[in-house]
Amino acid sequence: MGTVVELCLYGVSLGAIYAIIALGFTIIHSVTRIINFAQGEFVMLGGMLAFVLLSSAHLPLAVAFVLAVVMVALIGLMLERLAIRPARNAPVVSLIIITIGASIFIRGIAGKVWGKDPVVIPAFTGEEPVSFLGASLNPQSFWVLGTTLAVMVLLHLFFSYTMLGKALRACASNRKAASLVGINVGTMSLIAFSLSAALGATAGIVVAPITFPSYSVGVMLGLKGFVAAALGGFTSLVLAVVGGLGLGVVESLAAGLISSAYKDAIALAILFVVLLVQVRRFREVGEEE
Amino acid sequence: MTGEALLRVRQLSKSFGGVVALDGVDMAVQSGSVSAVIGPNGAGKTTLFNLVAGVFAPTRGEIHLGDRLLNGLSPEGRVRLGIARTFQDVRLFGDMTALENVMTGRHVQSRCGFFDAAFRLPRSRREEEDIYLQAMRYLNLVGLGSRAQERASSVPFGQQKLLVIARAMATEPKLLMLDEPGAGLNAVEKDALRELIFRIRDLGTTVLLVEHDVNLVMRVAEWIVVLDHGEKIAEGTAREVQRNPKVIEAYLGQEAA
Amino acid sequence: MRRRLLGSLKVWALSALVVAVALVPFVVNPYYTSLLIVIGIHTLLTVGLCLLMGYTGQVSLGHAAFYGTGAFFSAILSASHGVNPWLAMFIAAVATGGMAYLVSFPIFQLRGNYLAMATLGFGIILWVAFRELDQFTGGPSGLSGVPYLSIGGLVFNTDFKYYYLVWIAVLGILFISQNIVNSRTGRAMRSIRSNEDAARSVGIGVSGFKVKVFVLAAVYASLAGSLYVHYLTFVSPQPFGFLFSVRLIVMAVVGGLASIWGAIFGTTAVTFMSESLHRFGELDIILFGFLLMVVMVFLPQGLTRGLMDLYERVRARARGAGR
Repeated sequence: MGTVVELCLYGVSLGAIYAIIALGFTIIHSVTRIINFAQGEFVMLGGMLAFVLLSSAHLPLAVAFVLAVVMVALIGLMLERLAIRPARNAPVVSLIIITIGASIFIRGIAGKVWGKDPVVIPAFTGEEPVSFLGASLNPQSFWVLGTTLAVMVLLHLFFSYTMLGKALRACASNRKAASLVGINVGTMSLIAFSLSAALGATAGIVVAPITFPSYSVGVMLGLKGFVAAALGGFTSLVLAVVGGLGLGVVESLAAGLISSAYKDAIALAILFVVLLVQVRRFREVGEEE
Repeated sequence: MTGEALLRVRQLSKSFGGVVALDGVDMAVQSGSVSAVIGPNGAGKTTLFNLVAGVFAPTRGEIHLGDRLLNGLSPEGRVRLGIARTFQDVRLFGDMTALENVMTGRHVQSRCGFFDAAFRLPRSRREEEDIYLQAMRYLNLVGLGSRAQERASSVPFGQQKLLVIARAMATEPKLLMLDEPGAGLNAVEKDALRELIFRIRDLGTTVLLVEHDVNLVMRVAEWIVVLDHGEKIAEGTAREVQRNPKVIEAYLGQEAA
Repeated sequence: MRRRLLGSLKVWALSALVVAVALVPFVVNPYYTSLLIVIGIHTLLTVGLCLLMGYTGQVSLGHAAFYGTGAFFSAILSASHGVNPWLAMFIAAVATGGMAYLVSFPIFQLRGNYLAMATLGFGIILWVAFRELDQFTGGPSGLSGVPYLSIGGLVFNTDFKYYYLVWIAVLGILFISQNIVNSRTGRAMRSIRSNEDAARSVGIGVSGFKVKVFVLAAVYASLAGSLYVHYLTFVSPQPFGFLFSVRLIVMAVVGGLASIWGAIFGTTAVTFMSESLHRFGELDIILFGFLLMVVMVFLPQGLTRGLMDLYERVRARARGAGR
């Protein structure tokens, strides 16, 4: 990890992951007004389940990828149905605590089932570093970026051109009005959770060969995705992506140029500051409801 | 009209994004009077209330209480100056008793803080006693003394609306703003509300209400301001307003509340 | 004037509690005495969280950080600089309170969910600081040689004596907290949790209260940290991470977010459950997660409040009180 260019490019691929996670946060929040603290765990589960499918079941990569994503989407569905739905009228504090409970529950079970050690997933197309813009990059980084782009395009198509996507957007825009036109808000909530879980899992799988996931990677990833989503006010998908990429770059530069020990804290602190600048906007939104 | 203007609103305007909710409204509320703001749906009545209460800032215009400019002052600050308001959707503290709700109204009239409370200092105990007595007084003012120990959310709706008035009165306001106090009340309850408003006025508090029920307003308000589409279209006594052709036209097609 | 605290059942229960607490070290085996010391220290933390979360409806996911600052300030001042332990404890509390104050101004501008994450981030930042500022804190291996607390000739160097020191502090803090809750201040806090905008409309300075309660909870945590450090005579960054913050939330939730005395119950219950599960490896995390979900979904007021409500409903029906 040397030149600034390398750091930036690495930061962008890292940031792409944060961006996808941020998308998950944003989708759930805009449709249900909930912040899903378990989002990071979906990412972890994606990586871990893919590992299991690849190494124990010996499934081909593409199959394992899709299957893992589907499995995590189902877990997201279960979370919504079993833990969120029954408490949907509870105050914000309660829902926060429920998602925190879910996140540590999932993490605890993952720790028990798979142990604490990081798992190894082979890179999709091999380990030979690729030269790009004078920097030496892990080829998996291109997979990360490519997947992120594909995800963004697919989501755009989904939200703009499908009935379901439009229904979700309607719900995000005005819940009451949406239910009055016959959109089933409960189902929308379910879909939002499943979709975000799938997104998280996708991110987790595609980045696994670089970061060697273990049962505990969910917390920090979730937190960083959260910060990125916050930059978009939890409503703007575009800003969430920009935020994620930005965070990735800042973090990579900080780790490379200052100190990697403080890397998490530095990125957090900087974003704290940016968040506070956003405070005014959050406050006014709250008051006009 | 007697007395000087307690509340003065000058060229008050508010836009939300592209939507103009209120445009250049001038209004004066005389001290010691009962005044009302009426108008068809969407006229901007609640926006006017929220601006005076400090919930959001005006796009243009000024609000004065006496000779004090209110612009920029937080809602809590305005309560301390003597403006109290109720909400259209009640907003009681449901999990507290009726009495406790009114006791929160005494907050601005009392002072003991964490330290006094923590060690149960004598001045804290004396103040609690006083808060209790004053709160009971206001609870009795609205006729809910017997429900003091009941959970606020269990109180019947019509009486919940009286409870919030008691809570607002406990702050000892100069100006009491009632947001649709008659909504959801039956005829008997509305009569009781009317009597209560007169009692409040006789205590020296100026009352300003926003109300949909035009009949109720006509029987209770000395001065009425009529809004439509964010603008003031008429003002005057009940009789004057009733006969004003612009008012009649604004309400044509609207169902009588 | 009637006050709920003076209800006769409460007086009996309270007296029984005090007596039980006083008798414990004489009756049980020493393992439990030391466990109860830890429970006592944790209760101080839990009560602060109950006040913050249960009464003002705010969330703190980084509370362990304040526990840590109390512990480290006390340890560093008394061990490395020879400051009198009691003075060090006081300075730690003031410093921790000051930090909480500086941090909460900006944080309390954020509502609901954002606040939760902000406190989480803050907790992580401090945890990293504890580990990395090793010239002060001794780094990951910690700092030892912390002196015992003493009053005059009485040195608190045995479990037996420390138990009473801790529990006198705990009962004192609980008493103070209950007084706060039953006062004008407590009503203001409850109104903030119930409906912030309505609280503003009666003139309650909502942000100011949130800051004050946050600082109060931080000071309680600092005291707990100081007591912890003078018990072990050693401190390391290990206990002050996110997982401990979560554990505190579990204790607060189980005991009932809006119940001061429930804090004892919640802390005790969770500690005992955790101890018995240790045999099976680290099942406690799984249990915590599960408990959080279940309690918040079905018993949002926690077990103690749930039971108290039940009792009051039965009593009301017996009295034939009207609705």
